[in-house]
Amino acid sequence: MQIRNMKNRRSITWLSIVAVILATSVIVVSCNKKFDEPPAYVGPNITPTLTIADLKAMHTIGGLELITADKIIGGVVVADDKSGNFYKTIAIQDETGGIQLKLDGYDLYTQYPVGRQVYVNVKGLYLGDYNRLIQIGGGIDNTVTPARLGYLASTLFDQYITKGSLNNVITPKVVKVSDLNDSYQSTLIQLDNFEFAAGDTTKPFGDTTLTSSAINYTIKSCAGESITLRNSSYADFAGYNLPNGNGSILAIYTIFGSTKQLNIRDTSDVKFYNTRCGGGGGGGTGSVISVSDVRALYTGSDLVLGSYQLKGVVISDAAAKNLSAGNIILQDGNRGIALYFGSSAATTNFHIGDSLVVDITGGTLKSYNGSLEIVLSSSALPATAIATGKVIVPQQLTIDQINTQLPDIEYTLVKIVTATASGNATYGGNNTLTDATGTMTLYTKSGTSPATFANDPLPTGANTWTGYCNLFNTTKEFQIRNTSDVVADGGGGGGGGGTGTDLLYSEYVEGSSNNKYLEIYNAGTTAADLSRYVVKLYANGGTSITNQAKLDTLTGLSTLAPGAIIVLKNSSAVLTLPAGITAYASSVCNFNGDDAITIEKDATIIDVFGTVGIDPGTSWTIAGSATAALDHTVRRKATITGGNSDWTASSANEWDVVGIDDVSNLGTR
Amino acid sequence: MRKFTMLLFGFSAFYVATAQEQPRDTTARQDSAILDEIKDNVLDNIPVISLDDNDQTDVNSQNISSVLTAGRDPFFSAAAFNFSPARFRIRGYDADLSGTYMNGIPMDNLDNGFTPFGLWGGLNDVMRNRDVSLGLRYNTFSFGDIGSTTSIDSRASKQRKTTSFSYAFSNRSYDHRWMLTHSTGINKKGWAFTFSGSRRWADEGYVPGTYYDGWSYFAGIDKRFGQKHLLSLVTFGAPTENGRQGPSTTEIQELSGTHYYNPYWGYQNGKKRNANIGKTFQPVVILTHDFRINNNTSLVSALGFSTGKRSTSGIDWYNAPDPRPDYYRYLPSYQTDPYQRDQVTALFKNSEAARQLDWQGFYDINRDNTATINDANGVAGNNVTGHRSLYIVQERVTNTQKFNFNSVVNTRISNHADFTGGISYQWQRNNYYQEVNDLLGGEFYVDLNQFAERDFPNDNNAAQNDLNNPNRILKAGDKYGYNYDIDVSKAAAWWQTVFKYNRIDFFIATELSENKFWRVGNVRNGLFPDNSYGKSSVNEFINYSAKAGITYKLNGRNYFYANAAYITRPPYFENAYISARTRDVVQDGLKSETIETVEGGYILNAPKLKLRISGYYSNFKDGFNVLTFYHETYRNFVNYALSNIDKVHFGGEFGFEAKVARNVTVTGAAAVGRYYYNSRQNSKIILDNTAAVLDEQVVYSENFRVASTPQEAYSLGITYRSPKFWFVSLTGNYFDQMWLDFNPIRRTYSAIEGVDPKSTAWHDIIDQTRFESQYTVDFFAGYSYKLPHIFVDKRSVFLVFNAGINNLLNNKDIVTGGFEQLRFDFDTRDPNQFPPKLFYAYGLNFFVSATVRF
Repeated sequence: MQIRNMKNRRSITWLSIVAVILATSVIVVSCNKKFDEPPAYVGPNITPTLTIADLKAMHTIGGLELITADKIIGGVVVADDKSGNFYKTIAIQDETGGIQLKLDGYDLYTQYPVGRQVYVNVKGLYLGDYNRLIQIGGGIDNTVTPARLGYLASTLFDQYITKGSLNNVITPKVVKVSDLNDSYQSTLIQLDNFEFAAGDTTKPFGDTTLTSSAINYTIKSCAGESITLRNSSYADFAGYNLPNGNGSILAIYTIFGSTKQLNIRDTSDVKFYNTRCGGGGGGGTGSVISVSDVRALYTGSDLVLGSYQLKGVVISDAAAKNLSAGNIILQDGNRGIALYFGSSAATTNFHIGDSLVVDITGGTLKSYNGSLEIVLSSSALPATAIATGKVIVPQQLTIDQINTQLPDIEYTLVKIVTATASGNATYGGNNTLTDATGTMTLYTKSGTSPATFANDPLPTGANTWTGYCNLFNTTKEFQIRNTSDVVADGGGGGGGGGTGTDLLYSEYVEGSSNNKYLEIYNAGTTAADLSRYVVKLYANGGTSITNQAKLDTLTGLSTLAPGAIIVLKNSSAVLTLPAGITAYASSVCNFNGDDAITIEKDATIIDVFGTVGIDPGTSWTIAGSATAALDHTVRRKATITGGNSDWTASSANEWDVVGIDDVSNLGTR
Repeated sequence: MRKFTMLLFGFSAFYVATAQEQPRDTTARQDSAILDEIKDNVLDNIPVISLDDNDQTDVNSQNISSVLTAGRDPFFSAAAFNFSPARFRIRGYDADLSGTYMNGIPMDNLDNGFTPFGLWGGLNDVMRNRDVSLGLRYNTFSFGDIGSTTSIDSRASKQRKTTSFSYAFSNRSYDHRWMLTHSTGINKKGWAFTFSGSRRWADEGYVPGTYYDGWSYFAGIDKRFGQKHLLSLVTFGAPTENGRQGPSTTEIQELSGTHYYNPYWGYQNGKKRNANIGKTFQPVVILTHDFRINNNTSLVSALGFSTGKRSTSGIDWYNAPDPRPDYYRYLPSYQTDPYQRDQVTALFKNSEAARQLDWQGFYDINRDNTATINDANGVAGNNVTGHRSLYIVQERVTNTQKFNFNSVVNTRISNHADFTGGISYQWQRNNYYQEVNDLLGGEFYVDLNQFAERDFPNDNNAAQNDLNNPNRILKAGDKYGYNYDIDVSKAAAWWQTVFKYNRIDFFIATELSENKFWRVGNVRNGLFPDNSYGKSSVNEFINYSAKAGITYKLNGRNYFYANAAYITRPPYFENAYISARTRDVVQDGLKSETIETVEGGYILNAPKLKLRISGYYSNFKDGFNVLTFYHETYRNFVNYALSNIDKVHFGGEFGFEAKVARNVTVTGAAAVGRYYYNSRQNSKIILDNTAAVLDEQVVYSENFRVASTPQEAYSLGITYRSPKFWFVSLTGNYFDQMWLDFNPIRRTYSAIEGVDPKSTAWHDIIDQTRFESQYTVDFFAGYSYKLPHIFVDKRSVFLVFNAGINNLLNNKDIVTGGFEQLRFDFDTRDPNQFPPKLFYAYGLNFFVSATVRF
């Protein structure tokens, strides 16, 4: 009896132990302990034992010196690599001068941002100069001849560089070019009343094709001084166009041999907002106000504006006339507004992508039929754009989202995908636009001053629509700028196809020396979205791409209208093209007769010249001519309205061979 | 006669007591059970390693794929046990070619075919009833995989009535383990209960910076209804967290002075913090109905459900220097200037901090960085300014739901024919996403794709990971980056008939299955707005398989057999989707893989000598794979979609067990195989950010070796079993023909373009690396002591001690895994710029345990 009890009790004990352990397991697992956070970094207070000027004095131009003095310099970072205009380099300065540090790392700004105090223990580092620009480095780079100062290995940063406090402000020294000498090297300076040459103002800061790693521009002051501004093509602002106005520039002063140079940290260093020396450009004198802030001023009744300048990018197309004469739509960030300069103002001078600064002082901010507009005198229309070619990327929205977000998104560029238009036979007047989420009005100007495309047939089927919305009283309207804004939806990878619907090679020129051109024609009936097309060169029977070009990147165009043409050329091609024809230089034109060139849409080949993977020797045989692709111009027959990925069939039937260096027909078909 | 055949193949009856008179013998063998326990312990504690560059989320796929089993086939038991530390894989097969069933339910993951052994880690006590069928041989519970098929019976009524507690001490992945198990056996009213729990932990494992914290629980209830019905319910889980070990290059291993250098940890406030933490908790419930319809027929039906997460953490960063301490640009080999190289070398040699993660640095940079996010959370004008983290700890999570139904009937048609048939339906949903785990001192992170931002500077949409929620401000615990589901389903039916005659047994089996998988995107990726959100099209495959075999019984001791199979199987989704993280596009020409395989052998089963010698030949056709990596020439991430992957595996296996003297047994095993890729694979290089096809290349991969397993392995051991219930055993193992997994990019024309054919540089690029042959010596001992005159519930109390020392000679040069980095510099064409990363097997390691059992 006793034993039996013992046994039962024991089983119960075991069971309860099991239960307790299981419960404990669950509890213990469900509470995870957090790691203790380290304390915030407090920079040490170090007293430098050497000035930057004294350090620079240790250097002999052209030499490479190991620094043996056990000294510490201190300085504040005045340039970092955040925008990419400085690469693996920061500049620091103290009261006596500045110097550059060559550091072998990326994203240096994360540790050494502008404004950080740093201390450099210079013993063991090297001094050198890059064509007289004095720098500190980690050693000697013997991989080049002559040997150069080497970058300091990133692993060693903390051995030599101590980080101090943040957000120290260095006031730039305002100077004249004639004042500049080596004592200003690598310090922050400011030059006033400078501007770019008028011819440069449509150019970007850098070379986005990266053919040149940096671009030099000469900027001039109204007083006649000039200096070189050097921009890296790898800077994230390389694609931005240069500003058109006049003003101050902040920069790090550098030299290259005897050339005085400026390097900016970012485009915000170039404050060219004012009127150019000879008048024009820039804007008035009022403070710059954002479109968003202007819109916020409106409280329900008309308002006369104070002294302001409004900045924005044109998103309307006055030439296509789908807005009243005298109107321009400007977008600034994620807000837009209409400007009205009177019906006779020359608004057609400005195109989509032009950046304008408009003096809106005295203008009237009002609600015009439900949408915000600033009414100005025609003299307020700027003479020129401060920059061109600015890209505003449309925000992709559904109709339902648009209906909800109006009026906030009024007059901003939006894109509606897979939407179908219905109503009239032509664009003119009110039609209905429908997508999966809802409907809204598609309005196109008709009547006495109609849009140029008002009588074009309304496209059928699902399309992608780009344009802007506004309110017409309570009606929510969507307007396109021109017919390039309507792009037929792709076939979803596999659809599409068919002939007479897409891009094709319409002419091939393989002339004397490097006179090589390609002509691409949109045989389709809708605008082609160039971001979907890539031209690829496969040289000498290779199966890997020798060179390639994405057509939107190459041309800067987003679409190619039906019947329109793009001409590509070898960068060394020199033939005179028919008037008005622009050819875009691309390495895909490095062909010499036996190479294959394809054009791909969404990674599918839609047309070829030659067969990839085959080397015919010296030339493809075209229309029976064994040397047709060498020293000849070859034209696609006008009857051909679609690409052909079968080169054997294409070369036999679709081309005419003409003489050498014949470019008379380039740009037309 | 039949009984012998069964024994030889290590089979015992499974569920179907009526069809087979073979008694279960798990409870009978006392000292071999001790040996099995040691083996379990050894296998249970082999470290988790990652086997490829991508280090994807699937923690379990990186688990040791060994079959946790103690088969009695002399070759198989050596292969499963002695060869495991060298990551030997039987016949060179991938882990997906072996299957595991538990209580009638297939346990393999549908997404990659692997058995998630970790789900029942630490529950060795209740998982010991196992039946293993090897190769193409038939079994009574499934059509079977071609590697091996294991059935685990963890039902409460199948557990011996026992209570045990054990404690173990080791120096491997974990240091300590306790296990507590109580089984009631079946009582007169037909009830049986089993409970088991364990904990395994180490503050720091064998490899520096690693740790282990695992709990396990198991509960099982059985109820017998009459003579015909047995209903069983089990539930178990193993919440486990471990700090992981990373592979590394020879250079940093030499600088740190150890093959066990681990780049994943660094000091934070003086404590070692591991950035790469694996967590798993996926509890399982299985309900089984065992129905003896009559003396000749039984029906086993089972339902299984499992749900839970597994995750791996790591450091994510945004426009900041690479945080990995062993990043190639930080190492001495990157320095061209000898003056600086010496300084860097000295720093790496002398400063542990320089070799490890700089947590303090991450906190400093995050706290010092101030940024403004415009239109935050997609709200126009909502501009948020604060300390934007540039480094965070992220978790890559896989949340799995799995449902299984399986039903198998076994019936004896005649004295000469047994029929087995089954139907099953399996469904699995894996939800993959990233989560912010720790902002490391910053205030927020932003849901943006920095690579897209760099490529499309003028397109605000492209950089959005989720267009429906643009510029989302992230706090700890928020999901970000990718978020998608993969749904996989398989419906199958199979049957087999086994014919048995005096001299000849033969069988034929076929299976038909419908396999489907599709993707459901939960975010709209800015790069692929039209192909990332919502349900993709369904990929469907109809698959069929057939196998047949024959055994000739010369007499009761000598057997000859031959089996063959033809199998088709669908591609796994991870090899089908080109970049499942961002879009739902699959490889062109997706189709099923076919496998043709034959095997044959001879078995001797004499009282003093057991021996098996066999050969096999397997052909794999039309495999797919996708690799993603940073391409030096395109300066961007690319997807490398491989197709036409064919392989051939052939070789021989030999194993014997001989009683050479009283109580002395000698065992030996040899596996000699050759596993080749025997096709030129096709590759398509696709830009990850645009889906543009950049190039199509042929990979010159013919006759490259299948890696990650020794192709030759040998072992010889001697065991002394004392009649006084103790034993000692010493085994020597030798491994050869070990190859490094090759990078297909280096075996293309573009990789060697312009390099002198047959030159040293040319060979350096294309030759596959072979590792030196290796040896190990293992020692095991065990002792079972029955406490005199002490009884619990009329049962004797035993104390069992066992100890194992693996790699007695402390050989630290055994490469157990590794890969060539996929990065390759097409300008310098120097493969050593991105040298291979390797893992090494542990040096001398031990495991001792003590158990009390009654």
